[in-house]
Amino acid sequence: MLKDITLGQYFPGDTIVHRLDPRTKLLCVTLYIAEIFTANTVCGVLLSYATLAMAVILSKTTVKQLLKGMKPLLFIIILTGLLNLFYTTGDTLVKFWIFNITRQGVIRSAQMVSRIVMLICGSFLLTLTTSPLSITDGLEMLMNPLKKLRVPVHELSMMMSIALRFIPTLMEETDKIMSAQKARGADFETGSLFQRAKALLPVLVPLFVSAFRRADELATAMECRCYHGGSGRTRMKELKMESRDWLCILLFLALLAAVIALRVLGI
Amino acid sequence: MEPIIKIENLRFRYPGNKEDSLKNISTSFEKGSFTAILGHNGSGKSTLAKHLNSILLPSEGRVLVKGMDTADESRLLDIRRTVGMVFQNPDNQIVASVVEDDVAFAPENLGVESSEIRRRVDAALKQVEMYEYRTHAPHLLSGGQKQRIAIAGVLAMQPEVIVLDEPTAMLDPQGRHEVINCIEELRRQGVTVILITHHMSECIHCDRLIVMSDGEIRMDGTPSEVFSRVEELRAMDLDVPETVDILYQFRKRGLDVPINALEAESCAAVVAVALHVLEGAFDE
Amino acid sequence: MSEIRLENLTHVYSQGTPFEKVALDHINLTIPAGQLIVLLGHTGSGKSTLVQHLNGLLKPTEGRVLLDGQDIHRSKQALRDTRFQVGLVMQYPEYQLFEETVRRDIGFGPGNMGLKGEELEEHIRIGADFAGVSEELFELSPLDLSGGQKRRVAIAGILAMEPGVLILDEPTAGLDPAGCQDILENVKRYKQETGATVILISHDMNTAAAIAERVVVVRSGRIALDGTPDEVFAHVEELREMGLDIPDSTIVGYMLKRWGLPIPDGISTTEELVDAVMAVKGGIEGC
Repeated sequence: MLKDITLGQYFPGDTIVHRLDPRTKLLCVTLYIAEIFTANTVCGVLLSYATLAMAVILSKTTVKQLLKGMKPLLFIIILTGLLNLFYTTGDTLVKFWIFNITRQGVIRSAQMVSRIVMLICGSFLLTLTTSPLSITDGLEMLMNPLKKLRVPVHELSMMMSIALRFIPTLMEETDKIMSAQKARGADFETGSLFQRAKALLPVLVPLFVSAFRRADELATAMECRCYHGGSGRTRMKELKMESRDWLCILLFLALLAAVIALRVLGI
Repeated sequence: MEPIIKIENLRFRYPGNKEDSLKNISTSFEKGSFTAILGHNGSGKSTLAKHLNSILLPSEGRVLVKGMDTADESRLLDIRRTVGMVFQNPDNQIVASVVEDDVAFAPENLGVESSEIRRRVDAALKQVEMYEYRTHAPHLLSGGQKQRIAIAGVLAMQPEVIVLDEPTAMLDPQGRHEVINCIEELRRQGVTVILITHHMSECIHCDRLIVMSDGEIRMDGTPSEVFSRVEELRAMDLDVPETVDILYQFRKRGLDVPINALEAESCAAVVAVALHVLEGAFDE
Repeated sequence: MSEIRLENLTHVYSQGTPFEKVALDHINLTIPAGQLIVLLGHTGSGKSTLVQHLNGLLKPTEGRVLLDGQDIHRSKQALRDTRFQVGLVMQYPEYQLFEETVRRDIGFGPGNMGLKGEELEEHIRIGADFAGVSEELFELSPLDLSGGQKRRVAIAGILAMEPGVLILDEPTAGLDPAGCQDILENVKRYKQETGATVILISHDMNTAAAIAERVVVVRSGRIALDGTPDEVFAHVEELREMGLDIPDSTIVGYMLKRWGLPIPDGISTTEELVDAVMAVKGGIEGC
């Protein structure tokens, strides 16, 4: 049930996208997001789609995987599409009951849905081709300059990495606890919103207690493996920027520039 | 030869407790030995284990690891690198989302050079027979597999001693077999192993068996020696392996069998010989 | 005291996807009222899935689950009632404790049944008594108890509902020998005093040997063996292949028999073994 969410599912592989430095991918995804939200012309949007297609092809991702990645957010996509379709003012195309579909509504809806889909696919590709540890390592290195401002960069990165590692484990445990409480007659389905929230207490309390216990045991285990903070730590998989990384970043900068230009020019 | 771990007059009480959890323990562990520590819950066996690598510090007395006092903060990392520890819950020892990243955790902490870490990780995974799973996600593995990853994670530090605190308590029989086989393989390779357990059957192949009760060491000898003291063990609310119980019952009924054939097959053989069903071809 | 019957019970996970898995394959099983049955099987055999059908946590893909002759899925109300009539204690139940006091946690189940006041207190007392939870612990927080005590409180929470069918999934997992014995004693007592049908799941054949009236072995979603402990334990080779931990007494008995000793098949405990062997010993020496 809960396990079906493809949240940050990493799929090891050997494509050029897999081999890019995580920092490159993080920066490019950021640039891509800027690209998506800047593009407001036909050519601009097409260019954004082309960028996505390129990434999908190069990473050997299947359409099936993409669709699976979008599944959890399908509701939001549809809701956004419909809201924009029905509630944008302008030149009416169709009118029925209380709904008023305008030309601007159709365009805006298409634009919004398009952006969300590209956004989801872009981030999905990031987590698909980059192991959680690489992502947090990459983030840690990118955030390193913040150390000068006393930001606990290493600790934040370690927290993120451990949190990602435990998501599936905690989901499994939530499942088990819910089953156990259902076996004692707990009802999570009927009643008002307030009643249903109250019914979650028998699930949340054991889950929290368990999470604290895990944290304690994990901390001890980490110390037994000589963990003593960030100083002096090396990495098995050292991050090194190759020429392909710089080229990739340049490419995305160029694409962003192109989209801005198209926007200014109005094509 | 100096023992690799020496415990001198160790006394320990948890803060807030009214009684000592460990009462005047003195013993030592030889390099290359395989010791099992048996005792029921509350006997102090896990508490003792945690003193071996400075998780807990003595209230009185001291613990020396290769001559280093565990209370010496400056030697903490050296001690923990020498004595590695594997715990009961397979999930709560795994830090990373990919197997090989987790096994690399310890050498990364120790500042080992990158390619050397790679070598150690591969070697450790091969030692526990989990090399093909190196890019897998740990949460999809079975309990036995996860524990083997935990062991590999400790092996990557190249410790001289491995302490395992009830490593099979949460595993099914298959997982238990995998882990015990793994431990016996390590022992064959010369690693000093200290196994804390309450499963009698896991103690059969150790060199030395220590039985603890109420914070004290009550028995200390080879498995054959210790398990032959059936009544004493039962008085401590412990039990003996089934094979020992079988032989003990036969002896009570007048059959002349030794009490130390600990494996099922040798137990059967020894009974058969005593019954003259087989001639003494299977003497231990 | 209730009879449970499984008719063609089938459960398929992720049907229609490439991950489709048949966890239970047309199982037919009748457990008469008041029987104490142990369900054995290796991990992945389907035994946990099977047991979650018995109290309606899972719905069959095909087939029916009948409690005292009636389909438990016939109505929403029936399903809800089944939860209270078929008490399921899951693995490591101590992890589900959540209330502020032991008393309130034990009372969670009976409370959900609609019980209040003196009736509720009575059920709590009964549950605690059967599970070996002393009343001194009632006002403590469950989180302050030892592991063994926590488990007993969790079991008390189910027994307080006074189910006619009691199911325990690996009740002795992670306990030391003294703890194991304790739990099994309590289970036997519950059955004896209430006549409940008891189903225990285990990988540990010693548990089965110690208390089962009937042993059912599950393998790959089907029933592989079904009979008294003696009958089932006679299939040593098959049981070994399934990765189950065979008691030493069974192995020794099996080997002695192979070497010509005329003892019965399916020995499952030390007592049985020693008795059987000594009985024929006289015969051998007399030759």
